[in-house]
Amino acid sequence: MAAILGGALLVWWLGVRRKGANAGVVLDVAERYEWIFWAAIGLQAMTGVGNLGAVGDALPASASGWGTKLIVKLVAVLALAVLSVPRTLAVVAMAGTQRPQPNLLSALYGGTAIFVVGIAGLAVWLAHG
Amino acid sequence: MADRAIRERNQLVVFALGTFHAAVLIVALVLVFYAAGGLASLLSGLSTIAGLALFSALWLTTVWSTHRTLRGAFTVAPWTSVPLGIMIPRAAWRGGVNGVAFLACLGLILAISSAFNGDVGVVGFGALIFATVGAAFAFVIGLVLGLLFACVDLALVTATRAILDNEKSRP
Repeated sequence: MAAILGGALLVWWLGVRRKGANAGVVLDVAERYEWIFWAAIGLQAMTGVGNLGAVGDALPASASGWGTKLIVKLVAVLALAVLSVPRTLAVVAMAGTQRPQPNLLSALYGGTAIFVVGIAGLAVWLAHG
Repeated sequence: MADRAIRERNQLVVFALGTFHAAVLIVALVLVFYAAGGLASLLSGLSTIAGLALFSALWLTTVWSTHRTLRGAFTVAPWTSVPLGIMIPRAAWRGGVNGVAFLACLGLILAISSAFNGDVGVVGFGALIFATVGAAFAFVIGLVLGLLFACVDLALVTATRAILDNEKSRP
């Protein structure tokens, strides 16, 4: 989660710092971030299911308050994965055509960071019952 | 140098889409089973190591399957060259092959787990079922999922093109 959020913030920050970083560098960092992001998503899904399995039969019912929060969190994770595919494809396309679009990169990574902060908030809410 | 950069980008698309398919499938299944009330009993019958091994197997076979599906499908951007009439049947077929490959991994992991528990008879009977009815069933499920994910991917590629075109057309 730290890698996903930290990386998104870094690319967003590089994108909004127009004078400091050239668009090619931002795109290069974004491409590297995408590898880390998808590896982290796979690991999150793997360990997330493992954590639920560790709770086992003590898992609260889906109709309970905790269950509703878990369902909201799972839907948010699904939405993050779905919305991240166009971001990855856009970065690959920009890198392929050598035409970076700094405004779009900032918007994509700023949006990702906000979404991930929301999911982290849900995780904390879930952990506190 | 340019070829290497293109190859790396293609590998990124394959890895991203393969991981996307595996993660979304697992999270969606967890969501459905949890909402239906069957998740606790399902997960409690699975050890942590076996669970991690199963997800790793699904991840690996799905990335491999995505690699086979997208072979030759893009050059500099992820949406050039191969027509849809070829891509969609290829995705469905590869989904079916992925289903069988994952079933083989599942069988192996369960066989090792059963052998450690001393249930050797169960391993033999399970292998027979996996190799016959199970393989056909896994192929059909994989084929349907492959088709479904091909449609999702195409929708996401269309959305990406729209985002990029919209940004380019701005003053």
